[in-house]
Amino acid sequence: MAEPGETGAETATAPGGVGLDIARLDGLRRLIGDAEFQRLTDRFLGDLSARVAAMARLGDAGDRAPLAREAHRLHGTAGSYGLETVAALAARIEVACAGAGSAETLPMLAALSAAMEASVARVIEQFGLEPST
Amino acid sequence: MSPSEPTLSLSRLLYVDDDPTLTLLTRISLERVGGFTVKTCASGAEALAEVEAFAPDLILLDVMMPGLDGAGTLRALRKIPALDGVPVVFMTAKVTGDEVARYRELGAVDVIGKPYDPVKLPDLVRAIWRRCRG
Repeated sequence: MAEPGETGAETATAPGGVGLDIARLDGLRRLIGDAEFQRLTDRFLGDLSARVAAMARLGDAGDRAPLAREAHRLHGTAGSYGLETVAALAARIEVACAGAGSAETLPMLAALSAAMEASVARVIEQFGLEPST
Repeated sequence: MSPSEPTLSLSRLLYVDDDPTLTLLTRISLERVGGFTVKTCASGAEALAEVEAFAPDLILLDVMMPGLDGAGTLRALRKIPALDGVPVVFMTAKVTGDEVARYRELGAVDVIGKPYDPVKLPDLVRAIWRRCRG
Protein backbone atom coordinates (compact mmCIF):
# COMPACT_ATOMS: atom_id res chain seq x y z
CA MET A 1 0.00 0.00 0.00
CA ALA A 2 1.33 3.40 -0.93
CA GLU A 3 2.51 5.83 1.68
CA PRO A 4 0.49 9.03 1.69
CA GLY A 5 2.36 12.03 0.43
CA GLU A 6 3.75 14.81 2.55
CA THR A 7 0.80 16.99 1.68
CA GLY A 8 -1.42 14.53 3.48
CA ALA A 9 -0.20 15.63 6.89
CA GLU A 10 -3.24 17.77 7.39
CA THR A 11 -6.71 18.21 6.06
CA ALA A 12 -6.34 18.36 2.32
CA THR A 13 -8.48 20.01 -0.29
CA ALA A 14 -8.42 18.35 -3.67
CA PRO A 15 -8.44 20.44 -6.84
CA GLY A 16 -12.16 19.88 -7.09
CA GLY A 17 -12.60 21.44 -3.66
CA VAL A 18 -13.17 18.22 -1.73
CA GLY A 19 -12.11 18.37 1.90
CA LEU A 20 -10.48 15.19 3.07
CA ASP A 21 -8.75 14.55 6.39
CA ILE A 22 -5.89 12.48 5.05
CA ALA A 23 -4.06 12.78 8.36
CA ARG A 24 -6.94 11.11 10.16
CA LEU A 25 -7.06 8.24 7.69
CA ASP A 26 -3.31 7.84 7.68
CA GLY A 27 -3.13 7.93 11.45
CA LEU A 28 -5.62 5.12 11.57
CA ARG A 29 -3.74 3.16 8.89
CA ARG A 30 -0.52 3.37 10.86
CA LEU A 31 -2.22 2.13 14.00
CA ILE A 32 -4.20 -0.76 12.55
CA GLY A 33 -1.92 -1.82 9.69
CA ASP A 34 -2.37 -1.94 5.93
CA ALA A 35 -4.46 -5.11 5.74
CA GLU A 36 -7.08 -3.95 8.22
CA PHE A 37 -7.08 -0.50 6.68
CA GLN A 38 -7.70 -1.96 3.23
CA ARG A 39 -10.59 -4.02 4.57
CA LEU A 40 -12.05 -1.03 6.34
CA THR A 41 -11.81 1.35 3.40
CA ASP A 42 -13.15 -1.26 0.96
CA ARG A 43 -16.22 -1.63 3.12
CA PHE A 44 -16.67 2.07 3.68
CA LEU A 45 -16.13 3.27 0.14
CA GLY A 46 -18.46 0.65 -1.31
CA ASP A 47 -21.10 1.43 1.27
CA LEU A 48 -20.71 5.15 0.68
CA SER A 49 -21.54 4.85 -3.01
CA ALA A 50 -24.65 2.80 -2.27
CA ARG A 51 -25.83 5.22 0.39
CA VAL A 52 -25.42 8.30 -1.75
CA ALA A 53 -27.27 6.58 -4.60
CA ALA A 54 -30.09 5.65 -2.21
CA MET A 55 -30.27 9.24 -0.99
CA ALA A 56 -30.53 10.47 -4.58
CA ARG A 57 -33.48 8.15 -5.12
CA LEU A 58 -35.16 9.44 -1.97
CA GLY A 59 -34.56 12.99 -3.14
CA ASP A 60 -36.07 12.27 -6.55
CA ALA A 61 -39.11 10.76 -4.87
CA GLY A 62 -39.46 13.67 -2.45
CA ASP A 63 -39.22 11.38 0.59
CA ARG A 64 -37.82 13.97 2.94
CA ALA A 65 -38.10 12.16 6.27
CA PRO A 66 -36.11 9.08 5.24
CA LEU A 67 -33.72 11.32 3.32
CA ALA A 68 -33.11 13.35 6.48
CA ARG A 69 -32.39 10.16 8.45
CA GLU A 70 -29.95 8.92 5.85
CA ALA A 71 -28.29 12.32 5.66
CA HIS A 72 -27.92 12.35 9.44
CA ARG A 73 -26.28 8.94 9.46
CA LEU A 74 -23.99 9.81 6.57
CA HIS A 75 -22.87 12.98 8.31
CA GLY A 76 -21.58 11.03 11.29
CA THR A 77 -20.09 8.19 9.33
CA ALA A 78 -18.40 10.11 6.52
CA GLY A 79 -17.03 12.67 8.94
CA SER A 80 -15.56 9.99 11.17
CA TYR A 81 -13.77 8.55 8.14
CA GLY A 82 -12.39 12.02 7.36
CA LEU A 83 -14.55 12.83 4.33
CA GLU A 84 -15.26 16.35 5.42
CA THR A 85 -17.03 17.74 2.37
CA VAL A 86 -19.28 14.71 2.11
CA ALA A 87 -20.10 15.04 5.81
CA ALA A 88 -20.79 18.76 5.52
CA LEU A 89 -23.08 18.30 2.54
CA ALA A 90 -24.94 15.53 4.32
CA ALA A 91 -25.49 17.83 7.29
CA ARG A 92 -26.84 20.54 4.97
CA ILE A 93 -29.21 18.08 3.36
CA GLU A 94 -30.51 16.99 6.76
CA VAL A 95 -31.22 20.59 7.70
CA ALA A 96 -32.78 21.33 4.31
CA CYS A 97 -35.13 18.37 4.63
CA ALA A 98 -36.63 19.96 7.72
CA GLY A 99 -37.58 23.17 6.04
CA ALA A 100 -36.99 23.38 2.34
CA GLY A 101 -39.08 22.11 -0.49
CA SER A 102 -38.03 18.84 -2.02
CA ALA A 103 -36.64 20.56 -5.09
CA GLU A 104 -34.17 22.49 -2.99
CA THR A 105 -32.42 19.33 -1.88
CA LEU A 106 -31.78 18.14 -5.43
CA PRO A 107 -28.79 20.41 -6.15
CA MET A 108 -27.35 19.43 -2.77
CA LEU A 109 -27.74 15.76 -3.61
CA ALA A 110 -25.99 16.34 -6.93
CA ALA A 111 -23.17 18.09 -5.09
CA LEU A 112 -23.04 15.23 -2.59
CA SER A 113 -22.71 12.69 -5.37
CA ALA A 114 -19.89 14.66 -7.00
CA ALA A 115 -18.11 15.12 -3.69
CA MET A 116 -18.46 11.44 -2.91
CA GLU A 117 -16.95 10.44 -6.24
CA ALA A 118 -14.08 12.89 -5.88
CA SER A 119 -13.45 11.78 -2.29
CA VAL A 120 -13.43 8.10 -3.17
CA ALA A 121 -11.03 8.73 -6.05
CA ARG A 122 -8.79 10.77 -3.79
CA VAL A 123 -8.66 8.15 -1.05
CA ILE A 124 -7.93 5.39 -3.56
CA GLU A 125 -5.16 7.44 -5.12
CA GLN A 126 -3.69 8.61 -1.83
CA PHE A 127 -3.42 5.17 -0.29
CA GLY A 128 -2.85 3.12 -3.42
CA LEU A 129 -6.02 1.11 -2.87
CA GLU A 130 -7.67 -1.15 -5.37
CA PRO A 131 -10.95 0.44 -6.50
CA SER A 132 -13.92 -1.29 -4.94
CA THR A 133 -16.02 -3.34 -7.33
CA MET B 1 -18.28 -8.53 42.30
CA SER B 2 -21.83 -7.56 43.18
CA PRO B 3 -23.95 -5.81 40.56
CA SER B 4 -23.87 -2.57 42.50
CA GLU B 5 -20.09 -2.59 42.87
CA PRO B 6 -18.70 -0.83 39.81
CA THR B 7 -15.53 -2.15 38.26
CA LEU B 8 -12.44 0.02 38.73
CA SER B 9 -10.79 -0.60 35.40
CA LEU B 10 -12.21 0.02 31.97
CA SER B 11 -11.93 -2.92 29.61
CA ARG B 12 -15.33 -4.02 28.37
CA LEU B 13 -17.34 -1.69 26.14
CA LEU B 14 -20.78 -2.20 24.65
CA TYR B 15 -21.28 -0.11 21.50
CA VAL B 16 -24.81 0.28 20.15
CA ASP B 17 -25.34 1.81 16.70
CA ASP B 18 -27.51 0.91 13.73
CA ASP B 19 -24.92 2.03 11.16
CA PRO B 20 -22.78 -1.00 10.26
CA THR B 21 -20.08 1.01 8.52
CA LEU B 22 -19.57 3.33 11.45
CA THR B 23 -19.77 0.36 13.81
CA LEU B 24 -16.91 -1.34 11.97
CA LEU B 25 -14.75 1.77 12.26
CA THR B 26 -15.62 2.22 15.91
CA ARG B 27 -14.95 -1.41 16.74
CA ILE B 28 -11.53 -1.23 15.09
CA SER B 29 -10.79 2.00 16.91
CA LEU B 30 -11.77 0.69 20.32
CA GLU B 31 -10.28 -2.78 19.92
CA ARG B 32 -7.15 -2.20 17.88
CA VAL B 33 -6.25 1.31 18.95
CA GLY B 34 -7.75 1.30 22.43
CA GLY B 35 -7.18 -2.29 23.46
CA PHE B 36 -10.72 -2.72 24.77
CA THR B 37 -12.93 -5.77 24.59
CA VAL B 38 -15.89 -4.61 22.50
CA LYS B 39 -19.33 -5.99 21.84
CA THR B 40 -21.41 -4.25 19.20
CA CYS B 41 -25.18 -4.26 18.87
CA ALA B 42 -27.18 -2.92 15.93
CA SER B 43 -30.25 -1.86 17.90
CA GLY B 44 -31.49 -0.96 21.32
CA ALA B 45 -33.44 -4.19 21.49
CA GLU B 46 -30.35 -6.25 20.70
CA ALA B 47 -28.41 -4.36 23.34
CA LEU B 48 -31.03 -5.08 25.98
CA ALA B 49 -30.94 -8.75 25.09
CA GLU B 50 -27.14 -9.00 25.23
CA VAL B 51 -26.05 -6.54 27.87
CA GLU B 52 -26.28 -8.64 31.02
CA ALA B 53 -24.39 -11.55 29.52
CA PHE B 54 -21.63 -9.26 28.28
CA ALA B 55 -21.41 -7.24 31.50
CA PRO B 56 -19.89 -4.04 30.11
CA ASP B 57 -17.91 -1.55 32.15
CA LEU B 58 -19.28 1.29 30.00
CA ILE B 59 -21.93 1.61 27.29
CA LEU B 60 -21.67 3.78 24.18
CA LEU B 61 -25.11 4.43 22.77
CA ASP B 62 -26.21 6.03 19.52
CA VAL B 63 -29.15 8.41 19.94
CA MET B 64 -30.98 8.17 16.61
CA MET B 65 -31.84 4.56 15.92
CA PRO B 66 -34.93 3.06 14.33
CA GLY B 67 -37.28 1.32 16.72
CA LEU B 68 -36.02 1.77 20.25
CA ASP B 69 -33.93 4.92 20.13
CA GLY B 70 -31.05 5.88 22.39
CA ALA B 71 -33.22 7.54 25.01
CA GLY B 72 -35.61 4.59 25.18
CA THR B 73 -32.71 2.16 25.35
CA LEU B 74 -31.13 4.10 28.19
CA ARG B 75 -34.37 4.14 30.15
CA ALA B 76 -34.67 0.37 29.73
CA LEU B 77 -31.02 -0.17 30.68
CA ARG B 78 -31.53 1.77 33.89
CA LYS B 79 -34.17 -0.73 34.98
CA ILE B 80 -31.66 -3.59 34.94
CA PRO B 81 -30.23 -3.96 38.47
CA ALA B 82 -27.04 -5.61 37.25
CA LEU B 83 -26.18 -2.42 35.35
CA ASP B 84 -26.42 -0.17 38.36
CA GLY B 85 -23.45 2.19 38.18
CA VAL B 86 -22.47 1.32 34.61
CA PRO B 87 -21.95 4.64 32.79
CA VAL B 88 -23.80 5.28 29.56
CA VAL B 89 -22.38 7.72 27.01
CA PHE B 90 -24.46 8.99 24.13
CA MET B 91 -22.86 9.31 20.70
CA THR B 92 -24.66 11.74 18.45
CA ALA B 93 -24.33 14.49 15.88
CA LYS B 94 -26.87 16.54 17.80
CA VAL B 95 -24.75 18.24 20.42
CA THR B 96 -26.18 21.68 21.03
CA GLY B 97 -26.24 22.84 24.65
CA ASP B 98 -29.94 22.08 25.09
CA GLU B 99 -29.56 18.63 23.60
CA VAL B 100 -26.60 17.75 25.79
CA ALA B 101 -28.50 18.93 28.86
CA ARG B 102 -31.41 16.71 27.87
CA TYR B 103 -29.12 13.71 27.43
CA ARG B 104 -27.71 14.27 30.90
CA GLU B 105 -31.20 14.53 32.35
CA LEU B 106 -31.92 11.16 30.79
CA GLY B 107 -28.98 9.75 32.70
CA ALA B 108 -26.09 9.82 30.25
CA VAL B 109 -22.79 10.63 31.95
CA ASP B 110 -21.44 12.36 28.85
CA VAL B 111 -21.89 12.86 25.12
CA ILE B 112 -19.42 12.17 22.32
CA GLY B 113 -20.14 14.18 19.20
CA LYS B 114 -20.27 12.63 15.77
CA PRO B 115 -18.25 12.71 13.64
CA TYR B 116 -15.36 11.68 15.84
CA ASP B 117 -11.71 10.88 15.23
CA PRO B 118 -11.25 7.09 15.52
CA VAL B 119 -7.64 7.54 16.54
CA LYS B 120 -8.62 9.75 19.47
CA LEU B 121 -11.83 7.99 20.46
CA PRO B 122 -10.26 5.52 22.92
CA ASP B 123 -8.59 8.31 24.88
CA LEU B 124 -11.84 10.24 24.91
CA VAL B 125 -13.66 7.24 26.34
CA ARG B 126 -10.95 6.74 28.97
CA ALA B 127 -11.17 10.41 29.96
CA ILE B 128 -14.92 10.09 30.45
CA TRP B 129 -14.37 6.95 32.50
CA ARG B 130 -11.85 8.69 34.75
CA ARG B 131 -14.30 11.53 35.34
CA CYS B 132 -16.99 9.05 36.25
CA ARG B 133 -14.75 7.21 38.65
CA GLY B 134 -12.92 10.26 39.96
